[in-house]
Amino acid sequence: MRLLFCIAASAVVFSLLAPVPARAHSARGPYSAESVDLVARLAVEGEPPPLPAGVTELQFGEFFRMPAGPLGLEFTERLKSLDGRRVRIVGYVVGNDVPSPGRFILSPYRITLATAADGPADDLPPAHAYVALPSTQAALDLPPLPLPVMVQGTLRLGAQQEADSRVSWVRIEMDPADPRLRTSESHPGEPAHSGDHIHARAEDQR
Amino acid sequence: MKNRLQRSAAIALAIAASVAAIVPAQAAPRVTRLTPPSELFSSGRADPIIARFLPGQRFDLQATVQPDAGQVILRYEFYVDGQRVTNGVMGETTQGLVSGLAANTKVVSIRGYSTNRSGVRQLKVRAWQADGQSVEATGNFEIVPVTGGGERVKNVIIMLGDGMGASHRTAARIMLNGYAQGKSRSPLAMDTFPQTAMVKTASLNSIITDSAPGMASYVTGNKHANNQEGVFPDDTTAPFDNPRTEYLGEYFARTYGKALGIVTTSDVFDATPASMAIYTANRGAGTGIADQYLDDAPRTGLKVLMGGGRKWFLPNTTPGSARVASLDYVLPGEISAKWGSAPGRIDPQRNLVADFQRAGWEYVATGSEMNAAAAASGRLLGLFAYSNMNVALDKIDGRRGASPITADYGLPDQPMLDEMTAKALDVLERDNDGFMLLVEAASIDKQAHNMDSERWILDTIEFDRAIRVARDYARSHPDTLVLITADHECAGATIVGGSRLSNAELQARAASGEGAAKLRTNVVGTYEAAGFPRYTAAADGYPETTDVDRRMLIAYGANADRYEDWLTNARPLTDSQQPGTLPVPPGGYPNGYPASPLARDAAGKFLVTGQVGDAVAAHSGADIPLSAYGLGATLFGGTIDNSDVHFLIAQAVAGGVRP
Repeated sequence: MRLLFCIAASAVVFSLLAPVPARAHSARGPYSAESVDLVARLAVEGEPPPLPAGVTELQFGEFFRMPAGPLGLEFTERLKSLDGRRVRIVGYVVGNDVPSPGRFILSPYRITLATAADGPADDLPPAHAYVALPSTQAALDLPPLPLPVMVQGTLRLGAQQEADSRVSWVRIEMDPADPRLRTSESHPGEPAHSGDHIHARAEDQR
Repeated sequence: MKNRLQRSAAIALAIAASVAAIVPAQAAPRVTRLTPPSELFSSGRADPIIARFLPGQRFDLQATVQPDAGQVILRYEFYVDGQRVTNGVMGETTQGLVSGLAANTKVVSIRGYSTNRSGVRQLKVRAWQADGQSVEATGNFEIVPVTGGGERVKNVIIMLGDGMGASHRTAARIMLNGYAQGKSRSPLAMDTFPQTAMVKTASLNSIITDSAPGMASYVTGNKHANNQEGVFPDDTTAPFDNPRTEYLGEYFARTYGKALGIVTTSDVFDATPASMAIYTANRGAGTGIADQYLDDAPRTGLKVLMGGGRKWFLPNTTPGSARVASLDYVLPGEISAKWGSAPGRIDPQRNLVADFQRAGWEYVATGSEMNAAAAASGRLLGLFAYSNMNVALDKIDGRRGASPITADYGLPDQPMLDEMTAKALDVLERDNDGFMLLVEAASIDKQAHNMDSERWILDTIEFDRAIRVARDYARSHPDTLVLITADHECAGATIVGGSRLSNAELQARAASGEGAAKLRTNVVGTYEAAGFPRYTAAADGYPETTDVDRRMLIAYGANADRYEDWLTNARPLTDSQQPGTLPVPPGGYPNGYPASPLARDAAGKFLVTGQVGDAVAAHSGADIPLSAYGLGATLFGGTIDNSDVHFLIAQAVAGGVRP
């Protein structure tokens, strides 16, 4: 199987975090074992599996028209055509020092935001998507991974105020029918992991 | 005897302990911070004088007063040389203070103080708490006089190579012009400046500055803490209420009606450009910084603003915007009242480009638009990227059709820095009262951080071309002073020698995967083995290629871990702020933009272990060279502090230069 569609063993996933240098001010509380397990099941490596019926593959590079115009970025016709439809997209869970239960940002890069320390400064790529977990998992705060994750759900476009004070332009409501979102059986011994080892963007320029 | 002494000591200790138990830990309020900062307040020593100002230059006085438990601070007064200060606007707060202070701590201020009395002045604050007990604290500052009677400089151009130390200059000279038997074949434009000084760059709180205090010190005359722009530290958490020191541009605008121009290859909110005009303790507060450029333009004289950073100028409902409420600004009333600053507003939905246009500014988004701009109103806003602009190597390769980088970024038509400089001068020279212009080559620093040698060298060459434009302007406008300097050195970059190999041989070794045995041994030529690397300049003024035989080799003294193969990196590191350059996971970075210096050049397996634990190289603390040209250049020489530059410029403009 070319795709690690379900990496149930959280320890395997988080062993990949070890070589990544820490960012001092990104300390935050531990993630629950359930959150760790869920993000592990979303992780993907290699080629994705065949698209389910009725789902369209979407990439971050398809969000905005290029070259850019004189003012803001403009959605591509392809992105606009998928508004309200089921899509699948691969990206990275953005780390944050502020918990965000039931919602995470998906980015084409591995980054960690220091929202509490620095405010919502300028590390978030323009092409990103706010992803809402199904209501059954609204309490989960997903940790970032060094591996990309695959998200499947309904695409929503348009400006919307988010709780973190940003305005989102692209959102995905995860598909409750996605088998990877089924609640895991048991995860004793939580908390499982702190996200402190996730590194932000490569640059630390001052 | 010994036992008796021990008993006496024990009794004494017991008495002391009982007294301590019944006497409060504090018997009076305390002043724990007095601003402007001084050694007199901090250590009791009168020297060195930390804070210095020009006659009439405005600054805020401030003190943090912590009362006893159960007490409040009722009254406070500031005195200079024993005279109570009445020419500022008072302000005070007990809200929004940093943690660790006593209950009811009050931060008290006199905003916008100034004096024309030169010399060292004593500053005293006195405060009373409710039970009548009072406290006094003493500091000092200096008013540096300006000597009149000389020929006055009308225009000042500061050419700021961010992170540019002596090695960065030398590397650009070697690559652009080459050497013959130990002599450079021709000088850089910056080599032709007749006066040179060495500049100390430490900040208020470190021997290693960042760009904010590194730049601000040149134009406020004072030391600032890292990450802070034009302000002194305080004990509030708000980023826009810190005690201010008036910027030179604002002082010139207020006193002489001079215009201000800011040109950079970075995002215009970045620390160096913002440290020409913006007062904030948070260099990252982009929404408020961008707003203040426009809101305070009538006061600062700002008439040209060009660089990247469009994301701060778009309403937050527009894709590509980075505007957020928590990075916006609202000023305390006493600052607006005394400084005349706009009060500010939390408005992330603001369309700042449109507001600039409504205020009469012409807006351009590409190099072509910039070249065509008439700027009939005498105001020009150019935002050529959403964040930092592309670097010179990628812009030039894009113009040559040799690289897709600028197209990948979605911004294929970005101007070069010399073109931006010429345009800025064209607009600013219409101002009859003269101008002050900052031109920043920002990515000398940013690419030195990334240890991407060819990219910072080409940015230094691009900078030199901009310097040529400024120097030529000064030649035709002899009342102009041009300075070349840096806010600090970056990465401890240095020229270690030259490759012993041809490019083809080096390419083969870089692919060998045999590490230092193939990429260090018999590769890095030192001393005479370095020879004189030869590059060939193309008609556009930049090297035809940087991958020449026996190339120059660069090392880093403040380096992070990196793989090194000495070859020109085909692509810069990933920049998350660009709308393009998007990798398409899974598979990492398939379009070739590496995430870090450890994700680049790995095939050769030559790992250079850094002393710095970050992902990229850090600033370094060496003195940096300053060069001066034009009227007033002779004022600059010796080894000086970065804050001295402020007073020398002021002398040239306000007092004049004697033959």
